[in-house]
Amino acid sequence: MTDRSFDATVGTSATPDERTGRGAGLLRPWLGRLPRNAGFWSAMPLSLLLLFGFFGPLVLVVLYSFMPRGSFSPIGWPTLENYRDIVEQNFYISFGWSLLMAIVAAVLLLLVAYPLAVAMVRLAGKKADIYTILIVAPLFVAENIRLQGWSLFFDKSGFLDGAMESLFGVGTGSLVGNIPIVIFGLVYVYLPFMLFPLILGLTNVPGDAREAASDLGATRFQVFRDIELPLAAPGVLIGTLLCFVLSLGAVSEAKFLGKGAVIPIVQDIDSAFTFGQNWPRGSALSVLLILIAAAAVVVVMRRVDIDRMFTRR
Amino acid sequence: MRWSCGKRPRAISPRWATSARSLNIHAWEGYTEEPVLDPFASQIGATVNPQMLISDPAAVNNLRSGGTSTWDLINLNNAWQRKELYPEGLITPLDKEKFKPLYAMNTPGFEWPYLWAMDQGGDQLLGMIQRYGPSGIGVNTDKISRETVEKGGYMEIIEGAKGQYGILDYENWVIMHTCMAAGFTPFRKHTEAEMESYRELIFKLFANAKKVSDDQAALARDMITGEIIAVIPGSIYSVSAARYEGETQIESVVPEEGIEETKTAENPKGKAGITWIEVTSLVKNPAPTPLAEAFLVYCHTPEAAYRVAAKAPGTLNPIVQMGSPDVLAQFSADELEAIQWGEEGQWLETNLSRCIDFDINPDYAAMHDMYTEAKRSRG
Repeated sequence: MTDRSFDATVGTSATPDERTGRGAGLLRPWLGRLPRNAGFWSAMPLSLLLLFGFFGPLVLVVLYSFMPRGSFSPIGWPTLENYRDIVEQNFYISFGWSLLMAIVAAVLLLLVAYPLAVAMVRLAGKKADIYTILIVAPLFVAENIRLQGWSLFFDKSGFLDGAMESLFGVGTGSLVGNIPIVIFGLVYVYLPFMLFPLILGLTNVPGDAREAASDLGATRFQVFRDIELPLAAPGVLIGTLLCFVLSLGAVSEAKFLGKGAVIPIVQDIDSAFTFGQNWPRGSALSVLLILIAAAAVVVVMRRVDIDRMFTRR
Repeated sequence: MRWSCGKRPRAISPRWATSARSLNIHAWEGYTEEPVLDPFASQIGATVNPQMLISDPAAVNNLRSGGTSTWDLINLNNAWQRKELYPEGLITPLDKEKFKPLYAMNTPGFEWPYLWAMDQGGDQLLGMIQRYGPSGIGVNTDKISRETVEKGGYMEIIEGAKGQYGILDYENWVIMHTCMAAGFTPFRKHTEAEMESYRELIFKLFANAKKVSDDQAALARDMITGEIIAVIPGSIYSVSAARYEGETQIESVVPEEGIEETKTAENPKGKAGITWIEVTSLVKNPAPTPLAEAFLVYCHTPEAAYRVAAKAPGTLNPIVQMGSPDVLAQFSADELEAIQWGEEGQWLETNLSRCIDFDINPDYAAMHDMYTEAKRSRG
């Protein structure tokens, strides 16, 4: 719908009330104050969904975080005791590990996914399609099942241990229950979330620009540093941000592969809401986690021109 | 409807089949599976919507936060009904005249009036009991003998098997068993010295553990492969599936020497483990359905009772209705071996005699804080 057609239907056409002459005087000033562009009205459904489905629960979580322990209602006399407890207890360990693992996973994902993305952009046609199918296919299996599969693969008397034992007479023993395997799980699970933004970013790099730089004497590294990377930066930043935020909120990898070697902050949040019977504590931890993720989003989004990325202008 | 003592319950009345069409159950895994629910649903012609519990406290919170409008039946470990749900008006008493006769099916120790099924005044019947079991330590007896663990108790594992045991991370159960290992019951107020002992021990428990997981099947597998030799806590529910597969070296062992405050003239060694028993109650739903009562009756038919005990995914458990010959006859020798039944039920009875009953821990909040601190300190 264009702005003109919108004007025709909302701004100037006669409503049933106007035709009957009832209520028109009441509605006209109110309608007149509403914006008359299609963008406003097109965004309305999503805005309402976000308002009630996203910001509403978020407000509840914030309210709960200021309630005393044992509260099962967000309305009451506010207190800072949950935040004080979080500072006084050793929650910094969970926050620290979650942050560190998210950063390491995002960096590793970038290193793994970038060459793959370059290959997929430059490999047009069927080969790229095969890569895409191979990468997307695991997404159709639940994350927990895939991680349980890796656990059985790496654990003592698992596939790897058994195969090594039978082939070489020396098994690997258990390779689960440590932090590197948790990071491996994060990289495995979130690979598509890095790869596809990178592909989108790399499609912004015109082949002509690379060729022109080469013709002017630039080395391959200079072409990568001065041409490819700046033009693909929005995809790199979006992919990194996405993977960082998802890894920050990940818990299954630590449970299935870490076997208690490390406790991510989301596990603490889950524990507070369930076994801890402490919704306010869980809410306060959630608020802090959201603030960390939001800070990362703000930092990255200030450097990204989303409009340019998607419209390729 | 009324049944005489010890008699097999009759089929569900067709009256229920026409008065309601949907039953919502919030329960532990034994009651939420197809082998149990499908025959009931087809017999009644109703839809049964199960939601499996992930923990007692979480389910209680769900009820407190408005879940009474969602569920018709709630199945939890004992004590919650008697001490929290009924006083808070979240569950409805059962018709004693209707349900009392079913208690005649139960094994000794669970007869009418059973403490944890009654309200604190002893007047109201708050639910029906079914699955139960002793909780102690899960052990691979090929690696460390039952006798060694029975004599040495929890510290034989926590200190003697440092770096070789796992923790089954059902948080409230870890806390309760740590209290027992520290030498006092979890189910009363604790002194500052006891809280300090608990703190010290729970940090040691986590520091010395090789693995921490809430996946009982994975921990049982780790015991079978020799990756670990024991699991704290370990109940029949966490070892029975492995035992049923022929891995009978995996056992739930309850230490012989109990905590001082449980020692009596009749029981000079006291008690070191904890017995849990599930109680299924009617939720105080604003729109109650007669299907809820019908389901409770159905679970007492020998076939359904057996399926509750033996057909849950990944676990087999004793049920109190095994006091009825009709119910006991449903079990195979392998299934009885899996639940450590023993000759005439003596093995199970011995382990139960070493356990105190599950109850509410008044210091749970403070102890849970220490528990999470100890768990985080592993990282």
